[in-house]
Amino acid sequence: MDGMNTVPSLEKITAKNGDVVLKYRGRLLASAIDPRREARDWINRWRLRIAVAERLVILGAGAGFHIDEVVREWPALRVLVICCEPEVFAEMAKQQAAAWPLVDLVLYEGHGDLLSNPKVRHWMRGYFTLLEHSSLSNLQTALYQECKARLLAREPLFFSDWVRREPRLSQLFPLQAIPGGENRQMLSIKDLEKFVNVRADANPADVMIVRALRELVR
Amino acid sequence: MKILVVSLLRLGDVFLAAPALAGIKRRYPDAELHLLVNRQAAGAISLLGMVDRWHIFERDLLQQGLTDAESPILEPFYRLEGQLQKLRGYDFDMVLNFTHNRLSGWLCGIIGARQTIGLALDSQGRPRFGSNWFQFLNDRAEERGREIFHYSDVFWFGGGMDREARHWRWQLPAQAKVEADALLQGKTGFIALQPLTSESKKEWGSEHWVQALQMMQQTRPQSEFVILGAPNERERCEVLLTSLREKGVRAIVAICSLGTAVEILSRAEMLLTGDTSIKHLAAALPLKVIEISLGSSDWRRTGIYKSGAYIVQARVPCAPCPHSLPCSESFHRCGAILPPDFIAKFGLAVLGGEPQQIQDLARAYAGACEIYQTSFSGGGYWQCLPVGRAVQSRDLRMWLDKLTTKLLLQGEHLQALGAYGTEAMRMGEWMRKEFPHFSTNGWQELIRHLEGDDQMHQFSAQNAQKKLTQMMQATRSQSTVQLKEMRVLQAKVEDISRRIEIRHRLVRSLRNIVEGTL
Repeated sequence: MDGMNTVPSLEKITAKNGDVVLKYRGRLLASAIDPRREARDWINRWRLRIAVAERLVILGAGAGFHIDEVVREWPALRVLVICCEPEVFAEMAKQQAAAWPLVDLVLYEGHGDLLSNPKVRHWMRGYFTLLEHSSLSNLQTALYQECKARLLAREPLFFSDWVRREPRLSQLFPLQAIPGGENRQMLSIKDLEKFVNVRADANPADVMIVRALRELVR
Repeated sequence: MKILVVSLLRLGDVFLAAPALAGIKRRYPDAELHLLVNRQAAGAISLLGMVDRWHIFERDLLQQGLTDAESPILEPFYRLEGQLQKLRGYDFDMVLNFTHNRLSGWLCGIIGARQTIGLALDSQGRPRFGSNWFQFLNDRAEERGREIFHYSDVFWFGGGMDREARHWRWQLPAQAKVEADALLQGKTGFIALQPLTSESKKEWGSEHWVQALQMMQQTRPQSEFVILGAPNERERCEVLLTSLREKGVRAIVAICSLGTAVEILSRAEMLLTGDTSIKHLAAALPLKVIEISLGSSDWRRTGIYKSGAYIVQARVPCAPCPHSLPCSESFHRCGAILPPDFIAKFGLAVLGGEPQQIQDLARAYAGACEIYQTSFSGGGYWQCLPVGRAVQSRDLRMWLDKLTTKLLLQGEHLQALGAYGTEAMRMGEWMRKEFPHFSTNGWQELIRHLEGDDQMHQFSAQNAQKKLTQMMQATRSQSTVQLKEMRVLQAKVEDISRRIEIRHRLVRSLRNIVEGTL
């Protein structure tokens, strides 16, 4: 009887349009009617942001249709997909090499090691656009929210985490200037300007960039 | 040689830089000329053929990244750094900052070059200007005084050019002619119209335009009007067109790109416009132009940069109002005071090339507006001349003060032999050319008034010197010294003294020229 109630962690079903769709712990990761259309709708919602992205980070691999569509429309765009479910990750990894040569896949299962991942560390040294896949509510929501907060680095705790790992940033924003503890107030460029190291060891050009950015929101 | 010009304001401001860009290209024919503009001004790219490479500053993206809680906080930092690194990679010999704000100052400071002209901030936020002209722009940015120079002149002289004639052309894309042909259907000699502007404060209002054009149509039945508009202005232009047609006005709407607008303007006889980018495009074309200056339009700094155009400024005490503030009046006073029948009559007089009628109209409507005719002065800068009234001592004072400022900014007082006589001669020739009927006695009388100014200037200098002396004496008993204030006062004393000297020499030479003894 027990065996009959166990839901397999990953199932494949055929959608009405004939595509194969994943189900994770009994929950659909894409539309069971037309997952490609759903993926295009997702793209259309974020089109403006993707179009200007140098690199794109997507939280959640879903059933892979949205990755397919992004790659199809922006074949030269570097994409990093963060997935928090090992089973989904394994399934996506099979597709990656063949269909998505410029897509990096990262598995994150918690434990605060996201920024230690070499692929993520590589992405930290540049600018990227962050998007969430619509299936996240059917997945490990809390983990994805944590990933998002770490990548956005808009909370002092996570901002410090970025700064600590990048020597250039820690010269620009001395850690002792950033409020610690459980302060979850979102940081703004005004705060960053206050953190800036006015001593001589920060790169003057970096200091000037922060000052220039501050002018943009006066 | 590589030169970067930074112009990070609006589209019209990029067009204001066009004469200087052409001048720089002529001065350094082998140089690679780069231009950094905001994304919103990218429409200028195809028109400025003198620019070799364009760089787009993604201001909106950066602002969005800074304010959007869903964007990584460091994304704008890395994005801006990436762009600046790319620009630094060009290793510019010269950077000219035509944007006078702190943002551009930081950017120019970071980009760096062997020579930087215009505002650049160092890592401590200290400004450098690299040219007296840009220092002047900084010091007098908000001033309403007499010595206001047109922005195109500041860029021109700041860029190292002098009295050379301004020659620049818009480069037209191939489809401009095709699009213009399709829109105009063989029309030539029409009156082009740009009634819509970037700010509602600068607009005259549809009902005024309809009345004015209706009167023009009735007086001159062969008139045809072409209403120019950008794609985002289509709806408002169509509404205006409907109203015009209801009144029997022969008009069409031309919604088009800037390139096509230039092609259309090149086939027009006259342009009636508010303070718009179209006005700046018309500056390089031979057609007649009437600019209606309302709201925040500041014709002294951004008026149409060509000779022989007319500027109609509504006579209200609040003009020009600040860009950033809403109209301070309970109604749009400057628009309301300008009578449609005046614009209709004045437009027809300009179109017909009837100078006496132009003067008479300016006199008749002097209570509602001031009329100016644009010109390039003997000193090589843009200058407006009053229409409909005799030259007064205040006009001559303004011309002389501007010339004095120009010579001061160019360091003429540092030369062993300053060219004051030559400059006064040029000014005298220009005055005689522009006002051929003004008598020698009349000029002599005006010059006498100016000689009386010396005393006033001496008094200002003495006052500043007195304050400086008092401050220096006071510091003897104080533990801290107000160095900054003292420097400002000292600079003021020096500035006034130099001005007095230059002005005195100019007035003396001018008197001799008018009296025919030089």
